[in-house]
Amino acid sequence: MKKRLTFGKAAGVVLVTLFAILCVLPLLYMVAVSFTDSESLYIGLKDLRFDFSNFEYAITKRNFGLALKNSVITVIGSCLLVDIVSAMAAYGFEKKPVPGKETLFQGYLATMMIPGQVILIPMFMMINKAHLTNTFAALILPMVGAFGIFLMRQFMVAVSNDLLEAAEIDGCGELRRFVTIVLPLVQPALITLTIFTFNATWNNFLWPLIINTRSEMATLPVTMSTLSSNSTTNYGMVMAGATLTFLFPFVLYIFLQKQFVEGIALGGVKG
Amino acid sequence: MQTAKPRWTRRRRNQALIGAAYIAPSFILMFIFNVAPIFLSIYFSFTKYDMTAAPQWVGFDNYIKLGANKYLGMVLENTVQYVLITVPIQTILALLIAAFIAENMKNRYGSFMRSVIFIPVIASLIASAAVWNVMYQPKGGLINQCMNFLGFESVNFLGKKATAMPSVAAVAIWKSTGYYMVIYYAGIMNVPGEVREAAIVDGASPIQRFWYITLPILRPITYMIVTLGIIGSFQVFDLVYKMTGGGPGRATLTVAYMIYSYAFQDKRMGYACALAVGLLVVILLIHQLQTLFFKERDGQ
Amino acid sequence: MKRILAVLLVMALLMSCVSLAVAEEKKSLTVWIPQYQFSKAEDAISDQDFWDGVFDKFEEENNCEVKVEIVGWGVYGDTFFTSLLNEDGPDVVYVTDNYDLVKRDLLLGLDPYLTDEQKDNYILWSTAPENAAGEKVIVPMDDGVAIGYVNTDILAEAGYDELPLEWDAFIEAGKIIQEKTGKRAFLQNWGATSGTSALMLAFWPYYFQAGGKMLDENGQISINNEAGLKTVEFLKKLFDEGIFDEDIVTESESVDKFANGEVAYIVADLNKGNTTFTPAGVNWQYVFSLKGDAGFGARTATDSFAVNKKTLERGNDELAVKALVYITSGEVMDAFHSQIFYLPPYTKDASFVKDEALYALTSAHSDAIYVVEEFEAKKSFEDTLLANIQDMFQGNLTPQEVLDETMEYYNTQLKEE
Repeated sequence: MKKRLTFGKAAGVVLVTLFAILCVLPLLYMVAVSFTDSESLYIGLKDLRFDFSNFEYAITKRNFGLALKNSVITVIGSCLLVDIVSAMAAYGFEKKPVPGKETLFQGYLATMMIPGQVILIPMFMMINKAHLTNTFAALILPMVGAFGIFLMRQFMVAVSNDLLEAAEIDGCGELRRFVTIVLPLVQPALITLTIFTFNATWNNFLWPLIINTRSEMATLPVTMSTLSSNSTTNYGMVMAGATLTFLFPFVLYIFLQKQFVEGIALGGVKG
Repeated sequence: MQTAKPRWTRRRRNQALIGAAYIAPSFILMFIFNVAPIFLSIYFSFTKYDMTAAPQWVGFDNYIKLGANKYLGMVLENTVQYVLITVPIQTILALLIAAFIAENMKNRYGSFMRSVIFIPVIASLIASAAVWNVMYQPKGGLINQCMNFLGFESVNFLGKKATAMPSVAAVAIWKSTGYYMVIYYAGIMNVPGEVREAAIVDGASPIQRFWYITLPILRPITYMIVTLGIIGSFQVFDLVYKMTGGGPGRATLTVAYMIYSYAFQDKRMGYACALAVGLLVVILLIHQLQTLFFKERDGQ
Repeated sequence: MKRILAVLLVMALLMSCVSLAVAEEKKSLTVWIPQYQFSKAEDAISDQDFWDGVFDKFEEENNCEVKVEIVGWGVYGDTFFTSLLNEDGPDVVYVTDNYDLVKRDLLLGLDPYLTDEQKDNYILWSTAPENAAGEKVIVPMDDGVAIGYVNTDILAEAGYDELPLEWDAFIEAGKIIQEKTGKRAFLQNWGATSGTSALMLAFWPYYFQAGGKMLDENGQISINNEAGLKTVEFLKKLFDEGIFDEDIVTESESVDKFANGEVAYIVADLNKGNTTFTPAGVNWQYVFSLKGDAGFGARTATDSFAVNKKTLERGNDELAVKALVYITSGEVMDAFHSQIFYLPPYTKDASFVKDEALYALTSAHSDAIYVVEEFEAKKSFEDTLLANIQDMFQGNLTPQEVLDETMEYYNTQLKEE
């Protein structure tokens, strides 16, 4: 019995390890191909060169530097906006006696069911009519959604009412209470939401593609997708683009691994 | 009493106003970017609208036309096929890996494995699609090179009807398993220690413990993961757009891709909106069914 | 921490304001041109540098600022239409499909701005579509025929001096080539993900060779006819006889394989020989096209340059037309064709010819060069036809069903007028 179990356990460890390898293998392959100059795909070790010409080309000739800047600005703007707006809304919903708030909250939740494609077309028309095409605002403002507010509210429940009342009696003003007491208490939730928003914004493709048509406003995924065309595909270059797109979140992940994983887990369990 | 009451109400009213002010920014943004577009979509679906001239009311024409669209059934079938491949596999795989790591690999190696399995989550779909496109290449792609090495024939994964959709789905599974695994892992870690210890004392085997204790406790998480998975999978666009363009034939044509091409390729917003509204109805129906399913299971 | 947040917030706000503010004193122009420089060679000038250099002179002469945006092909078709709807869309724009733009009157009528001499200088001026007022709205350019390339070594190995070009003879020769050399006889890009790019190389040329016309007398697309059936049957036969690779490929793959010496014959754009095949060391030859019942036939596409109608409101319409004329002038185009990408001349005053042999070949067959015309919902029509032909290869449709289904779907679902 015992022996069989250890065997099962060993097999499990091997399987998990294999799956983990499977998870990173395509990304290693991506990096490897990005160092080749081959238009055909038979990539052997002989094709690997350790010069960065594909990267250099992508950054100097194909606007990847600019796209990186655009992506970073969009992500920072989105995270700030989503965090602030969601935290405020959650606080209002959870701690304030606003009439009809539960109905409104249910309405918010219902929007989570809406597929993106349903609202894509009217949103495009609205942004266009508002002359907001080719702005960061067009990329950032729509990132606020029901999920963030819902998530923040889950955490807002745990903020003690007594503490807030005590602070109020001490003469601590409304806004100050929110900023100095509530926000620090829900900090884990803010981190979680930041990670979710980061992921969603960084990877957003279709919306930036149709709403920001000027190349100076293109984000990384859009710029990446301009690399391939029907008649020429230099795989090395496309993979260099993919690597560049992947690099920034990956470095962030390496440094903030714990926050990433815990943030997602927290969001999942609470959500 | 008489003096206290108005003061209390004034305070309450004050608080309500302050609360409303806190909610207002989210309300404005939610209204503009989530609610208004739905109603506009529904309105457009009853019009002929080409993005330049004003929308022209056509009644149910778009829906009638949609009903007569001979590829709609096939496209829905493809989409459902994609959902049926991705959602169960990514959910079960995530659960099994999370449970196994939680049970047997609570060490540094296990946490390293978790970190590694999570990595695809942070790769963008467009980059993932590009990478897997190269991996799937019939001649020289990594997968076929490996298969040739092992003595198998090359397979044109994205070019054959039978393999195209599963190949696209595999990328989605690759990308999201780590995400759900992390959520499951946290859920399992939240299972109170006493419950597990009691079960161990009762002589339950690990598999029994998993089946009778962990799984039921994880039910709310499973419900959420399946819901998110279904909604997400029904909207699959980026992968199809970048990997197959809907082909070969119409093997990987999905509803979202069809909406995109009607709207932005043909500039027929009205018709595209009718299809989008149809998709919304389907998702709501499936969500209802799924809720019923989970409720019924809860009732047992 | 708070300070950092505040700075970031202000930065984000500023950035969005900056992109909103477009108050300038000098007249300015935005020009959209897709990427044409595909070479990664050290000395290859990038599109951006080329056009920026070209416009230096123009900016000085006209006291204006010209901003050239190079847009990647991967998203060009998706973005240039919506960009013309935008308030800040480009003034001068490179146009691929023009049907929707003309129908929605998004382009400036050019006649009033051009002298007869200028119009006469444009080789394809007469084919340009007109707006409701009868003014031509684009300057069409010849994108160059898709030309055939033969690997002469493979041909010789199979015992041929010349590739038989008649359809049936070609198939027979293909079988012999594959048998004798073990190499692929022919490749077409039926694995393309976009209908337009597949049909450009692998459908329309045969349709023209079979004597087909794209539009009927009412200007409607019509392929369900004898020529259409012959074409699809020919494709099916090529596939059934194993002439196509069983793994139908994309255009770049077939080019790669030809460059690798794996294929006897392919059809590709007219730059590939000099830029790709010769450097790869392949011994190759041009072939104008295969030969169907109606003789030779090759397609050319007419992309074009046009001016955004919104320039009227912006008050830079004259400047925009001036820029358009400048871009398409013989002087600029000769430089473009010699430094960036070779295409046939745009105007009669252009003189640069890259490849005399090619020029002689296309001149000799000028009556067999057909233009792929524009019609409503063209892209979706082409996607539909591509999907149905792929379905036929998978054994699900007969050639007649391909045509029936495509036309039925087009008429009931895609066409609105």
